[in-house]
Amino acid sequence: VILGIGLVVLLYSMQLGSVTTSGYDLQRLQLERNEWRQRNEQLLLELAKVQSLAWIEVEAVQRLGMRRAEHVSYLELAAPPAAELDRADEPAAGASPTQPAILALWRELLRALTPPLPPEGTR
Amino acid sequence: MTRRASGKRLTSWRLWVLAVGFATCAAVVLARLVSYQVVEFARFQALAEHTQVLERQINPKRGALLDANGRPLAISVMYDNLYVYGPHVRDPGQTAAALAPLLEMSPSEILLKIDRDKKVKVLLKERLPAPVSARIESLGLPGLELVPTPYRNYPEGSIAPQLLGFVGVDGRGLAGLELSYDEELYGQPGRLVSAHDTAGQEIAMARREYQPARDGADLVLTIDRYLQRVAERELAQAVAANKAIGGHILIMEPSTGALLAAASWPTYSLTEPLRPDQQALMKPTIVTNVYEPGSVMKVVTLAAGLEEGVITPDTTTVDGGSVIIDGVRISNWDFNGHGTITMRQMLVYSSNVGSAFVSRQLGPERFYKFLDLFGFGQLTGVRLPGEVPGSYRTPDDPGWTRVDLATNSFGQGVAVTPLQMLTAIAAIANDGVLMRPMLVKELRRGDEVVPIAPEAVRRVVSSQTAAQVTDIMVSVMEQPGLKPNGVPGYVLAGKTGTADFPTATGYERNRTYASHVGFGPAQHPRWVMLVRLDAPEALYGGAVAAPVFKRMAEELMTYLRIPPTEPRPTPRATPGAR
Repeated sequence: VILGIGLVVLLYSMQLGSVTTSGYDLQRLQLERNEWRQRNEQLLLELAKVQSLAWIEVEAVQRLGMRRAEHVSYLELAAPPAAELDRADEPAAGASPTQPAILALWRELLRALTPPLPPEGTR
Repeated sequence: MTRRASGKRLTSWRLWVLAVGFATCAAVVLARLVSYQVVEFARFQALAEHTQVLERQINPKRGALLDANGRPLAISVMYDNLYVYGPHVRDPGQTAAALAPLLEMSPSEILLKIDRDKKVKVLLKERLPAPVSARIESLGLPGLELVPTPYRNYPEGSIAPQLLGFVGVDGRGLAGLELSYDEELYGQPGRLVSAHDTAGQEIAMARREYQPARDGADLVLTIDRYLQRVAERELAQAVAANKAIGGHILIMEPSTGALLAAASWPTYSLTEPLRPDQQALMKPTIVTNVYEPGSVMKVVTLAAGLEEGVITPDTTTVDGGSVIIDGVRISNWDFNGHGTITMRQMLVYSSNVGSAFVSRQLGPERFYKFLDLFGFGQLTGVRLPGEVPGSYRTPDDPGWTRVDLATNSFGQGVAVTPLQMLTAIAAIANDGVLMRPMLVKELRRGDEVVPIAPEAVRRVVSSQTAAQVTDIMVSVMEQPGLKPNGVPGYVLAGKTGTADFPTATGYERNRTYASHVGFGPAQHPRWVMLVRLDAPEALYGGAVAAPVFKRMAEELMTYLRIPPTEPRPTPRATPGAR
């Protein structure tokens, strides 16, 4: 009986010790978590600051040498009719089946954006 | 035998005494135990709780203010503040030497704050970055305490300060949206009840009650950071260039009432300490300060006349430069007469005589009904603190005369807020429907998103009237005097206004509110704008506010990606440009 009681007391003490240690570990982890959370918040703030307009403007003007556009041009792109788009979706003979119709639009946009080369001798 | 018997008796007696003694002691101990554990249990438990149990409020994280595209304008970030408790510092010299490089302070500066006789925590340094704070903690110096404290930060710098407002040291809103949406932004504090040992460590097996805090909601504003920044820059430049004392640039989306930008000058800075003399600048002046709008009000008068059918755009009147009403001469702003003019010309020439004619045709009842319908004299309901309704006199008020009716028709004797004026013009741009101005379009709490829908207040004029007024406002912008202030490729509608500063006895003739309202593109308005400069050197809205309107309109067309509807002149090639 005495041995049994002793064993129970020993187990209880061990359990108590383990719970207490875990409690302290938990507190330490909570502190660590708060610290990382704090670091995370501060980094997010830094990120927001480098994405701010003031920062972007300084970087663009001073480092990249950019300047304001004086004239804005709008390009009107005539989208191909829906029927044509449907046809473009079907794999045609001689054409790559993976080439979507949108590529044609991009090509048209590129042509519009790229100025024609000046005639020889004028450059 | 006798000796043995007497000895036995003696032993037995001694044993009894000892037993009784032990029993008495046991009884006393037991009695005390019963007293402590049963009889006085509650008292001792209370005493233990008083010394061990600590109840702490867990502060919620305050919600952020985000711009229309979700970019943060104001966010709360936790930083550690470092305090020193002098009596617990073992070696002040060593402590100061260890902290100096981390705090970027000199050791002597730190030593000054360590007073070993002062039983008060002293702030050594606030807003420590997390890595610095971690290094200080790892030093394990006695007498130091790191206290996490939330700080409001402004990643975009000081932007829209009067709208955003600011928070106090307790993290509660004190001005602007921070104040009016404080309940949503603040969240709900949590609570932690726990027992601690003498070293301050939490006792793991003891009582613990935890109720987590509910963080505040993020507010997604209708304000666009780019437009706001451009508006603030343009306003500051215009104020300086025109030697004005202040002004506003307000931009609204007419179909929703969403304010895209609201710049005000003078103002204060969110990133610098507030000065006591800036008290008056902390309120959102777009809703707290009234002014007389001047000729801009003719748009409302014209709309009322057309809606009631008392005039058409082609109705004529004779403008002799002035008119006498009840013995009072009312003159045009330039004292010039224009002969017989149509109602279109009334607005183009900004004729006070023509405007007074429309108000006479309407009569006071119908005229003031329209002022009411357009939202003057009442709160817009934008949910900014300190909004005032503005005022004007009606025939029911003592002292009202027919002169009031005439002067009110061209925006004198009427006190309106800049936001009211913008909202009224936006109703014309929005097919005749008045929208409630809005600054917050969404509330976000984690994954939960609560959209705030635009609210139509009422229809103030018919679609036909709105179209007619728009058409006449386009004519205003196309007159030779204002044509240079248009944007090539676009049709804009607008109206200028100039009103003298009112004083207690009359008006100051050399100080004016110079303004320009308008919207574009006139066919399908995407924005409506009010530009106002206070006491500019050149006095007139057309001279000082219209050029600002033009520059802002150009920005808006490009930024909102509105393609031109009219042919635009080809830009001349800059020499050397490729």
